[in-house]
Amino acid sequence: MNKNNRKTLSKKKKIVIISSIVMLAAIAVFLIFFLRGRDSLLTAVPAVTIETPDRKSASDREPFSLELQLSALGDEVYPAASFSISFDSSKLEFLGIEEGNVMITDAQSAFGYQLPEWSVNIERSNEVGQINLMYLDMTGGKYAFTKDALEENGNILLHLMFRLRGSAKSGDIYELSFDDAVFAASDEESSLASAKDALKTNNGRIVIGG
Amino acid sequence: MRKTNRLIAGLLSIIMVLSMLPFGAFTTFAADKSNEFNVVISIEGLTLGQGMYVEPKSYTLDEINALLAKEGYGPYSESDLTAGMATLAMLIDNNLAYFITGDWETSAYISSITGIDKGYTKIPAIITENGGPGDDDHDGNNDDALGEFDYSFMAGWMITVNDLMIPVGCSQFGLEDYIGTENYQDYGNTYVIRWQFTLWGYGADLGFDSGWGMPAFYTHANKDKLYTAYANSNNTAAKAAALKVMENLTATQAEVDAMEASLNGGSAGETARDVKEILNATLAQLAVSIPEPVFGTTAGEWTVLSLARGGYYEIDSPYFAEYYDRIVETVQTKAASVNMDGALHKVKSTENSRLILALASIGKDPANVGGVNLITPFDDFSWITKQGINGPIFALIALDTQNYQTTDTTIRQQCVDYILSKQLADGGWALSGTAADPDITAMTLQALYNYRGQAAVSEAAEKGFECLSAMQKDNGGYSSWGSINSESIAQVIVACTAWGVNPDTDFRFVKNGHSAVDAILEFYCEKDAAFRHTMDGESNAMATDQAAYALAAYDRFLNNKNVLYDMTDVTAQLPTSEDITATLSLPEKIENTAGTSFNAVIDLTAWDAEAGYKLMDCIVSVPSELSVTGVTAGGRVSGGQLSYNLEESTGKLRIVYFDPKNGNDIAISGSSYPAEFLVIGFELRSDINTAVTDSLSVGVTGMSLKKNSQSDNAESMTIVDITKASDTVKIVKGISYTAMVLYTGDDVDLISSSRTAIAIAVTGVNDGAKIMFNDGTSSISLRYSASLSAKTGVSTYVCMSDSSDLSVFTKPGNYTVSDNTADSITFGDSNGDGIVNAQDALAAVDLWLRKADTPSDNEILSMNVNADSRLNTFDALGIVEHFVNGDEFAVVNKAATLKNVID
Repeated sequence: MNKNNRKTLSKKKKIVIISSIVMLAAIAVFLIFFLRGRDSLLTAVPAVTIETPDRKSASDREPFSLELQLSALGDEVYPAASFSISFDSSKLEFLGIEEGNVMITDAQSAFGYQLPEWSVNIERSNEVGQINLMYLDMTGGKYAFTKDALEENGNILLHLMFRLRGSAKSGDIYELSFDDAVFAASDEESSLASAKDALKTNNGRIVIGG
Repeated sequence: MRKTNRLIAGLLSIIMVLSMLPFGAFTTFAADKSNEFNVVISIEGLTLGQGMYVEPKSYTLDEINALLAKEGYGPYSESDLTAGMATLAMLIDNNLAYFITGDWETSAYISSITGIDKGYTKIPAIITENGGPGDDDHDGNNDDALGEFDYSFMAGWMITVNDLMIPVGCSQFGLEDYIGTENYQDYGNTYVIRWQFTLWGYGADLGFDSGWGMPAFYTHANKDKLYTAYANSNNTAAKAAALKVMENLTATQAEVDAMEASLNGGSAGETARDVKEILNATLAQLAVSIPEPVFGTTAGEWTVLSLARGGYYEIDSPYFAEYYDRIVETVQTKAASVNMDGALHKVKSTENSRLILALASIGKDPANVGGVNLITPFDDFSWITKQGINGPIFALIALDTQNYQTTDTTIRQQCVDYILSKQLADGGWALSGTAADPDITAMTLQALYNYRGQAAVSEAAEKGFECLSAMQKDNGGYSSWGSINSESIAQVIVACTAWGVNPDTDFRFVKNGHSAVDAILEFYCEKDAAFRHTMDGESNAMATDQAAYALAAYDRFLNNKNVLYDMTDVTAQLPTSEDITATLSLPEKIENTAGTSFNAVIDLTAWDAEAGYKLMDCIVSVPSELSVTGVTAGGRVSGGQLSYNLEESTGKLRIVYFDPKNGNDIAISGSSYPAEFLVIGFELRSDINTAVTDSLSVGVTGMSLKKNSQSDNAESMTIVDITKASDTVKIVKGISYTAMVLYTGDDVDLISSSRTAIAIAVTGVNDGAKIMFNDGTSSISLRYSASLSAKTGVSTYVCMSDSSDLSVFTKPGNYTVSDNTADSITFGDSNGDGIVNAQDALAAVDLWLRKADTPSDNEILSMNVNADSRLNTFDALGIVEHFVNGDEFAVVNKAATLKNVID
């Protein structure tokens, strides 16, 4: 082996090393982008998320809705669920909820599922600045949330309807934050609860533009 | 030494041998000896189908001697007491006249006993099958004494003692003399004497071979132990079940032993126990499956009636109040549409009748349902009969629930006459045709009970019951319109209980050992907690409604309550939303030191959400010893802002609540009342000398709700009733304890009737200090409640106790206060994680569904948020309403009235 040969080998080594680094970097970038927002895969913890909408105009008085999204559920049957969401009721008027696409089991129906009926008090929510939503299956399991009812392409528990109040002004940011969230199973150890970090919560925010 | 070893070895051997003997042998022996000498005696007419004349009763020797002394006999010892003298004591006890030959002390022979023959026969088939007389060919009884040669030439009284047909006259039969004799059973100190009427075969019909020519027709069961258990039991329901076996002439030994075991087990007999359990489960399921009953034949009035008369809900429960609110609008609409003076249907008077039944059961006035009088149309007899016999039947049942009066006072009698005119040849009634229908016959009997004083009614009813009995199938059930169904049985049960006939034991309604009650239970579908219409069908609403109120009727019968449709025991009337009353509550006691703070809570008993109230003002009289630290609106109140001022010179606290910017209506969210309206915080300005001032009073002197500023218009303002809006707080030195019962369980839903929840307000301690209660019987660590304390302004604790005796909870000597912090309780927070949410509501549901373990004391305290006697789905709903609407838990509201009843 002569000196030129040694030089040639050294170049090859460099190329291999650089190529490997580039490939690893590409894989890392791919994983970051691919898995971004997919909490269930990253953390294995189901999550509820309040959609952050596009910037709103301070002068816009039309109602708008925010999705309350669900990433995944565990293997259990969840006959009850509740969410406590705080908002600034001096800036935002809560108008109510509209149906999402996440269903509960219903063996009586031909389809096998139906939409849940959530309990919420609009008036009280605006008084105290906190939306308390609850679903309770009085049969303890016949009409429950299960992962079998989830869609592959996006699961919306419900839509939260709001309207900006006259006091809203450009530059403000209004947080919509979870105080508590739970999908309750009869075996509490199997429940998905934010208080136990078994249910991740992602707050939403409304940014007010000009 | 060797001798000593032998002695020890001998003693050890004896001990070892003794230890190998069955322990039970000693305990049995001891138990027998501990029993007091007693004689159980009965008189029976089973061979005539007349059941018991004198039910088994146990007499001690002292009781027998006391009875005999009335006629100059005795006293007797255990060794010289004869069956004859024991029998005489029983006859004296029951005030029964008799005819005997000979005399009681030496040679009595009972020829007859007066006044016990029931006047009918239902001779068991075993007798007729062996050549004996039947119901249609017996010799009868010519007088009111029942004895030898009545009904048959072989008839007369026979006596068994300890299951031995005694070989001598009763006066010669010493109870202890025959111990060891063949067939003479040994029950220790208990002797069982049964006087039985033999109709045919000189005792062969009783299952004995007396040696007078006829062998026993069957193998009799020894019922002595069952009779003894019956005599010693206080369990009415269990005894009713046992009586059915006792009165079955040919009951098997297995049936007798099973019932004896049930009675001795201290529980109700199988049927009685099942009825109660099934009734409770069915009512609970009805409550859940029909959360909002409306006007109608299903999910409506019958459900309300069942839940009210079955005792599942108190009549002032929100369930009934909300039903009534829904009904008012329906009634107004229907009555306006029909336009016939309160009629809800042009031809079906039963629409009115059915609603009257439901309203009467919940204490509502059917003469004024949103201004509609449901009674008035019953003045038109032609309207009542437009739908045939059903109309008059249910008109009578409905009008008689609370004795509602028609203007035409002849209407009731017209209904009775109409019904009597429709009786069929077979003794029953039907909607149409000539064959009786069990449903219509049973309903008719229900309607006629209040008119039994009329001879024609009494006679018709007797035939009606005979007809109903004849229609009963071998399995105890009934068939109507071609199918054996639960609804027909339900109506029979209601009819029987209305007339005081036990449908589970009366011979007329027991076929082949299967009673009407047994039969209806066969239709129960356990997985649904509901009833089927037919055995091969699914459970359905109508069958469940009818079975529920039939079982409620039977349960009321067993417990000596008013019969199902006699609603004179329902008295309460719910407040109307127009009547708004304010109440003011203070703690019972506060400490006398300066700076002691407490609250006055002003509740409203109702609210008119439609009135559009814009402003509330009120004046509260405050003693000079108190300063006002703040006034807040109740958590459910919205629409305005509070302003207040205490005028020091007069002690008048003026409060106004309104929305100065937008003029919003004042609102109270939720539907449960009373609702907290205002909370006033007070503080003692200085130390108080309790010798001079031992109490302070605060009272509302005026409160009004205004709709607008038109002061000359009376409709612009509602004056709130303040007659109950004042209270007094006692001023005490140091630590004091005030206790109240929050609730006691009733064994229906998860809270034992032996467990009581108690709230204790404590003055003179640091808020939340750890307090132990110990009265020498039980030691309890009290749990601090921040919500109760905030309500009253006084540190308040809760606990569960075996005792509802508040006196022990008010004695300072029973408490130890430490510097540590007490465990706390948050109502609604079943898992103690500090958050009330869906997990807690689900926990209440799962508990009620019995999917979770029996609740602990802490779980009961935290989850029974409506403070009733049960842990059920109402508590789950209470948690939902608290979470969503911010409604105050009833248990917290109750604490505002915390008063020490002992003082």
